[in-house]
Amino acid sequence: MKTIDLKKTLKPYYTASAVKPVFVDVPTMNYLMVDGTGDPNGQLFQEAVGSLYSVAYTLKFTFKKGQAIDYPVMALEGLWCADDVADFLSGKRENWQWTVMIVLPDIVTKKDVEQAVAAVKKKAKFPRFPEVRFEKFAEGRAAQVMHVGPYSAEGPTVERLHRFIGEQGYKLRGKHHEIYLGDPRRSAPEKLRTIIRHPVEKAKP
Amino acid sequence: MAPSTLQTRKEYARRLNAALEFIDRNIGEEISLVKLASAAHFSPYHFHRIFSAFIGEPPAEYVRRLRLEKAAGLLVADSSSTVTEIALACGFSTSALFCRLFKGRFGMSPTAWRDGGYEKRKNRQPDRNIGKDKSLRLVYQWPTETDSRGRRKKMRKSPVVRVEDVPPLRVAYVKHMKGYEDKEGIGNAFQTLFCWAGPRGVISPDMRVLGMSLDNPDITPKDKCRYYACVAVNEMVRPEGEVGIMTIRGGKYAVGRFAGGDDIFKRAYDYMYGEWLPKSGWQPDDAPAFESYVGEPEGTPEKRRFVFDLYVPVKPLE
Repeated sequence: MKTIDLKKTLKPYYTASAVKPVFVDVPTMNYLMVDGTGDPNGQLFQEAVGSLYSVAYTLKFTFKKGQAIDYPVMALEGLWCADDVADFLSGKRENWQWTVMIVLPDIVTKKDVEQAVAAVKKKAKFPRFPEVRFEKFAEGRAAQVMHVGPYSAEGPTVERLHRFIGEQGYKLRGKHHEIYLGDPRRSAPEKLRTIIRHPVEKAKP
Repeated sequence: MAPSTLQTRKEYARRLNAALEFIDRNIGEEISLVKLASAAHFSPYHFHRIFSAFIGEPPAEYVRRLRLEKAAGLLVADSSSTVTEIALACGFSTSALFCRLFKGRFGMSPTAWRDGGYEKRKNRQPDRNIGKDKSLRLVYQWPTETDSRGRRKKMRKSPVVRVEDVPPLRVAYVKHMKGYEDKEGIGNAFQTLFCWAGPRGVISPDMRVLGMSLDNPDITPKDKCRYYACVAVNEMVRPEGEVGIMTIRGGKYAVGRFAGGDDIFKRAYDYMYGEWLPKSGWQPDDAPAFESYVGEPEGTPEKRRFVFDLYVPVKPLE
């Protein structure tokens, strides 16, 4: 059995300090992704996460069984945006647009993902199956910081990250990115650990 | 059109699971070949051969072995019942028949077994002293203990084992019937289970993965101990091929958390049954214990490290 230790090789991108934001240069990586709109506490979001994990674990065990390669299923991540940024501040959750995703090791190809999706569609008894796709994502330079606490209290941490980005001579670019290291069903809300990341570019002086 | 070989195999596996479940449920009753075959939807004529081929011993022999092993366990664990009561509860028609078969299998009378014979035999097991020099590693920490000061206090004065009310738990399982030391076989059972579970949406990071060890390796031959690889599932999931569905008994369990390498399992069972239970005011209830794994095994395939909670079903000592 060969093991791909993603947790080790990708460590710089999946750890962060709760005290001090840092810059990371995120390489181009392949992800499983599902898109949707609406309240993250709603049915659609839950279904999206459910189908994402079904495909992720189907792939993991296909590789383990078929090729004797073992790798960990990495943390759930989310990209967030809204047509009107004010909807985030005012909590108009029905307008929140999100992409839930999980990073894949390089050995997993688009074809592998399509096969896994077909297997899940055939075998799972889901009432609906939000479409899971394989996508290359080049995030590039970004700033990130660890948020410890409930998701609903992210506001000040996000502000702190944005302020840091401005102070360093950068500005925001692309989508707000969160990496959920804690499991909301297992951890107490005040202990949940979430990496808040935002891609950046040099601000023109 | 005739079903494919794969479908046939799956159907056979499903039916054999039904036969084994039938035996477990009716171990205290008379189990005729006809009844057993019909529980498995096979004709009695062929059933004997199919069972022998898949399980490795003929049905009558398998049932008799399980009855004797269950009785051997009860003789030691349940001191308030007489030999005759235990014989009848384990499906033997008379105490005389039981004593004869018992002697044939264990080389001593049930009474001698109860009066120290089992202990003697247990201590003769060659591999019993593996790891004995190391102290047993119980984990003095529960995930719910969020206050670190409280946790530190707990580390000093233990109750590391606690009795909990556990709701019934529905699980999908793949069985491995060739002993606990066959790591590869157990690994394969989990592989089969997870390959089935993945596309069915059963797996997520918060899934509960369990292992159920049905037999006492000090009683059952080491290469015949039954291990069930389990994952918790909801009411919608149905049995399929060699993946069976069962409900683990709800009720009182003594729960201890353990961490260590491959030998931790045996040591954990020894600790719970041999040290904790006798001092606890509880006795083991007549149901299998199970291991609830905390995270995936860590370390390398050659030197793995496990963290798990061992659940032992208990009832008050009358």
